[in-house]
Amino acid sequence: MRVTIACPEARIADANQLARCLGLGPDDDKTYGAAQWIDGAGNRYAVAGGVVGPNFSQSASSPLIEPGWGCDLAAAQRAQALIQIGQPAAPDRIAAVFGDDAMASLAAMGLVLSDAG
Amino acid sequence: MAWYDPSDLSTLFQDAAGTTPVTASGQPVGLMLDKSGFGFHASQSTALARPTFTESGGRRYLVFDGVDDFLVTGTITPGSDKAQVFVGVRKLADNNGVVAEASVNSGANNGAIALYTGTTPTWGVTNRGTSALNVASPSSYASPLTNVLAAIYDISGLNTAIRANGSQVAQSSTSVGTGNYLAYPMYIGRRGGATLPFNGRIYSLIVRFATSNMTAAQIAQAEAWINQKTGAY
Repeated sequence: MRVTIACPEARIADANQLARCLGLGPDDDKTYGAAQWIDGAGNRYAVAGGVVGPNFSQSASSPLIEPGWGCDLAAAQRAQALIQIGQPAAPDRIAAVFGDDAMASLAAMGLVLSDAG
Repeated sequence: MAWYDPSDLSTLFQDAAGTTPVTASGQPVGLMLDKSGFGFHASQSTALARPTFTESGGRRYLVFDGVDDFLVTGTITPGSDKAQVFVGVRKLADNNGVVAEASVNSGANNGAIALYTGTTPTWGVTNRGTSALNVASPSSYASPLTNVLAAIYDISGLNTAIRANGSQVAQSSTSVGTGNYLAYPMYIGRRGGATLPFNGRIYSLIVRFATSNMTAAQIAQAEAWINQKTGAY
């Protein structure tokens, strides 16, 4: 199962803590890089995408537990509260879309790569 | 030299530490071992940024999603001013995307090289001794497209060329300055791990730095081997 996730620019730090909390190691706090994707209104997003396990949706919505390598749990919880599945990208949400074609998922979220990207 | 062969499952692991082997199509690749013996293994420690191993139609390859996937090697120290890159590749979009690049930006760093897709649509190479030169194929390489590419770089020999499916498609003798290729990591699939994501497949990749050029026969042999893995022509 493949997921593509769009994180508003202002939420990147929190979202990386959520990725570190749910991920496989401390380097998962580098999941969201520069905000190189834009929506129709010009809002900017960092996008990440990849293969996730079948329990991803459940894990992403369950109470968070700090992993052995540590994370900022408060930041992770703030990001978790913003996750919405199958919605267009918006500045007040972290949108996630499931689908094998990342480009199709990005189109569904209304995002295009900015010129700088 | 570095040699990556995704058709050989013994070289692929799901995690960057190399503890969980890739065993089936659809699994992420966090580590791809270098088969050259030089130890320039390519890895990705961030889970969602890992390319995906895929087996389909009798071929095995890595899929780079055009979003955030890339692999990066440790520092490669060439000590020479000649290089060749051979890759079996399928592009699925005509964006600017890095297939392979030494350093975080070959246009800005002396002694660096790159092979990339272009928007027009082209394949392109960057060759930089102390000044950068971009050489692009004709604008007739639109996605989706499968090619065996060979990029030829020679600083003192004044040669920058790109070959597709066994034929030269662009060449320049413009000087790229002086010096050798310098010590950098090799990024596969994304510039510096940050921009210009490649959307497509890599079937096999060989990067060679050497003090001597390859003969025409050696280039043809390398292309033929890559094509066995790719089926481009």
